[in-house]
Amino acid sequence: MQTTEKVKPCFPLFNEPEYQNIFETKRAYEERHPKEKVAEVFEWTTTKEYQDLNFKREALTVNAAKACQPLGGALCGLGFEKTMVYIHGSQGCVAYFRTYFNRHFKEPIAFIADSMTEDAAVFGGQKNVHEGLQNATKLYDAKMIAVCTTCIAEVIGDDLGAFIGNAKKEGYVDKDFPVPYANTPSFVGSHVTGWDNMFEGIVKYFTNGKMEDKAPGKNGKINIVPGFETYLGNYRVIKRYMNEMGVDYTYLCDPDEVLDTPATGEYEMYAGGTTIEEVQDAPNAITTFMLQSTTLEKSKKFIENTWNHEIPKLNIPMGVEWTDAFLMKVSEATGKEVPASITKERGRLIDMMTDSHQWLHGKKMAVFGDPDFVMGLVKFMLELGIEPTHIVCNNSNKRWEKAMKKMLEDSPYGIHAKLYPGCDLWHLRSLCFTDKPDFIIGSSLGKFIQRDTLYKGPEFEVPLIRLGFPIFDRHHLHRMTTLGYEGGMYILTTLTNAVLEQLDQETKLLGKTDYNFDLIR
Amino acid sequence: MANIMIRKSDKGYVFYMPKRDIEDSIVSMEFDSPEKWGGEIKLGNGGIYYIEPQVAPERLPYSVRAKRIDGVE
Amino acid sequence: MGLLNREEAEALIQEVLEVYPEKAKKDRAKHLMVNDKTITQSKKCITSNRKSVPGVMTQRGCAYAGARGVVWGPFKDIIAISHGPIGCGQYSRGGRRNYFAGISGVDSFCDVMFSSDFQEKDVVFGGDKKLAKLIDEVEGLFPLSKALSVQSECPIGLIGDDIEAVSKKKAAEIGKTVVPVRCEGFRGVSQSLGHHISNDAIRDWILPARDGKLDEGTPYDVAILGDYNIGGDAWASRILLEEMGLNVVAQWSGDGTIVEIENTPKVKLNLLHCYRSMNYIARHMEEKYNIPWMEYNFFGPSKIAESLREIASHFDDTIKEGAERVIAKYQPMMDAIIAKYKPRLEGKKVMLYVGGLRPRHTIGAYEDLGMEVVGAGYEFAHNDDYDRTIKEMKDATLIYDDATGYELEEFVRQVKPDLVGSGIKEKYAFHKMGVPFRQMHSWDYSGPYHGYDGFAVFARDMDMTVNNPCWSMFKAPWQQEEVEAEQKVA
Repeated sequence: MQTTEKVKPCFPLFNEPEYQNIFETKRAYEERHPKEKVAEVFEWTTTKEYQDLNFKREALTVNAAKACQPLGGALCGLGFEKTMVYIHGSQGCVAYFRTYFNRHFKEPIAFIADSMTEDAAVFGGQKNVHEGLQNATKLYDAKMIAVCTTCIAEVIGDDLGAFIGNAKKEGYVDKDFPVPYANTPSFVGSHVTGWDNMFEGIVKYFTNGKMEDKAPGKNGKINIVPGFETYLGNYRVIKRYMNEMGVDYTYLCDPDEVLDTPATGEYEMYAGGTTIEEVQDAPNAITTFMLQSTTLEKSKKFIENTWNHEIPKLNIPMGVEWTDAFLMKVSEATGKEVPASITKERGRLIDMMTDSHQWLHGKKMAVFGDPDFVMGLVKFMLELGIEPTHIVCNNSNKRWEKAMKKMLEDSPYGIHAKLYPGCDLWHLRSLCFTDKPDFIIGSSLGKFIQRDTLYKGPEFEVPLIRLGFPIFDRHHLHRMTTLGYEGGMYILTTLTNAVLEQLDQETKLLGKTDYNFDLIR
Repeated sequence: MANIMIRKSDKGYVFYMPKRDIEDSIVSMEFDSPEKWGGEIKLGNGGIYYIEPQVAPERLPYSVRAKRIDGVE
Repeated sequence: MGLLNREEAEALIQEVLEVYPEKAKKDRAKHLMVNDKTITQSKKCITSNRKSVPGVMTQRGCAYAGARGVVWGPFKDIIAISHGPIGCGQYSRGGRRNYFAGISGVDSFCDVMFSSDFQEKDVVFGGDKKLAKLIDEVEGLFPLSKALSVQSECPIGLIGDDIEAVSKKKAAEIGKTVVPVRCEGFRGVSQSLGHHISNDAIRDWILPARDGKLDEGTPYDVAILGDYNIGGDAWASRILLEEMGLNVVAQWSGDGTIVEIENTPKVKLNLLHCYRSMNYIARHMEEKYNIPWMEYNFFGPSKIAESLREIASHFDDTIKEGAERVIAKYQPMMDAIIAKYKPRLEGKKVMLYVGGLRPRHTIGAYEDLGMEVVGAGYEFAHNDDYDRTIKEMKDATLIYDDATGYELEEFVRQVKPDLVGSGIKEKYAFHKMGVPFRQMHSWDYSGPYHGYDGFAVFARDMDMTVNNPCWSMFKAPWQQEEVEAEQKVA
């Protein structure tokens, strides 16, 4: 029973004997499998035999590490000034997208749906688009409404372009009001694809057929395209570098303000973001830097073909070399030198690497996450002397696979690594039992593997290091930085301290393992 | 015609139409004997429905088709 | 009495409606009301369970969410397969905190996500074959599951797949129940239809499994319906029912198992907590198995005691004495909790906007703490829920159905409650506005809130949020000077 001195929530309340007793007595009503049987099957799920069966799956996904297209489309829309993200389809999807981002960013997320229901599934969703756009423009004081779709609209084949055109023709929305759109079917690709599609939709809307007076280099700026990016620090670090280099730039899609508004007593639905004028002027930039090169294929094609930009072939600027490459390319494109301040920052990162290498060298770590993120992380791991083992990318693509293979072959630290394109976290669970890494790096979704491996015994536990998206069970990590030298510092600090934390866990037993429970590490 | 369910409460019959979430007391039922049961039923909310007269069900609740004659829905 | 009188409340609704275009305004007007306790039938003054207006930021979810998230997800030994594209399964994972006791991935599956991850070819050529194969794979990898349920996502219903046929065929092959659930997200207007469809699916595919084979049971067998064990709610409820001498044969569906469903027809009374999501099956069992049902409310000591006595009234004196014994056992603890927290919360005003039950069910718990609910609304309630709400709410309080983001913010701006209880989508906007906020779907990662033990947590949580120092630091000192200066000038 509770006491006023210490009110107990779920844990430790349910560890009290009276509740433990209920768990036992309830079993009588459950006709559960005997505990011995459950233990036996659990052990079997940790075997190589089970893993082989597990990897034979063709139809079933268990514990996915990816989401669907419109989630990415919605994040892209958020990055433009006073833009309302409008999702054409069922309203439940939109509730899910908002919730997913709420949980990650701990921020309000304003997206709207046009609530297609059974009749719309039969007759098409044009009425919803008309009424929806009319209400949205009236209610939410937006400068732009960015529309993407859910699978209902895609399956019934709604002609979104025509619907929006008709809405303007028939006066539901002002004919000059910008309503860019993209088709984002959930059954193709993943959230990173959706980002790419929505981005292409927006830049196309504002620049396609409006290229007469545009020419690369005219405005002297460079464009930065982030891709599906959930670390706020990543937007900021790139801006800082540009400012320190004296490079004039346009961040094409910049949600770092709207995803980080201060508590003032007023709720501001919009904040910051790329302006329409900036998008219109973007073709005039010297060139466009795509920060996540393996997942922005469609946008890249559009920018190359329509804006005539020669897009630099770069990898995500994570770790030392790829940040070097990025900065040199920016320097080359703009003629601005990399300033001493950034060189100093680089030196500080290298200094940290020298300080911590002894704890990281030779550590075996499994990784999972989105394609470019995983690629950049693995690159940095190789630079740190960490040996990546199981590399899982649920939403991988061929380009990614090829590039990853090459990178691993080129590094002596890549010999233990194995790529698992298209695999999910139930595959990774098996791998963590049969070929135990020291750690898993990935989003919160990996925490169940840590729990399951611990259940086999403390010596089998594979701790999770939280880097990626989504992070639901730790606060404010989305504010950190993973790109650039600054990102390297954060990743290095996180990894090193995870290793030391684990070592303390293992050596803190008084009189048993504490010979190695050192004050200084 | 819609499916309704008739229940018995301590205050008499209760009408329930799942499709419209109408739950109300039945203030009168045209026929209410073991041999003949149903006919026109009036609800507390003023609604009037019609159930084909039939032998009274052995026990309640009982689901039956009813026709709306008049009233709020 | 709320902060507003009737005229002010009416005027507020009119003011809020002003911004809408004509058609939307007319529609939304029907969903907003000022409470009048003399009204016995809500439908005369508030419309509910209707399509949401496109483009207004409804907070509602879909039928799939009601089926997968609410009804099916919490059954621990039934594997819930999200059938369709990957998103729905991913987004519905873990959000509802349905606790369970078991070995996850082996004999319990509440926190494992199963999806058929539809690709374009599945949409084009149909997904029935994939589903059949998937069921074999589930069976191979998770042999200790007791049953499977298949939740269809939007495309399934549009491409003409026959998941019923596949389910029947595979059930025969693997010797386990496989339940097809037609809960495509476009069906109905909210989560609510997903509950109803799921109730019907249980009725048709599981409930009669042991008809004619069940033993008599004991005179004290009951089932808990509509408790999803969020943060352990059902456990904090079960403990009280067992202490008063009842046998809880089944929990629907929090920490529940398929045999508990199959055994429910032998209970003597069905206890219904979330009326909205499980009244259908209770009514069905009343008709088919002659099992009476009653709604109860385990939020806050007043309602708990009332409910325990009402439950006991269906049984003999041993149970009636049992109820009194339980009430007497916990009352001193409750008195102490109230003595501790009430002085800190007395007179505070609360606005609620939750799913289909809690806005009315938690009023008593707030009142036990001296707090007052001045506005309440539901995402997906029906007329019968509003009938029940009008009685619980005070006169001239605001009642809102399927409220939009804009309406909620405006109401809160004007009514200035001391606490808002709603969901994660609403939470952070109110944080920015400086309004203390608790999530009332997930208990804000706390709980349980049901039962006597739960009320202690509820009281603690409301206090920590209403009285945390963070709400007083919104203005920097220099900004406060500005404010004062402005006031002086004015």
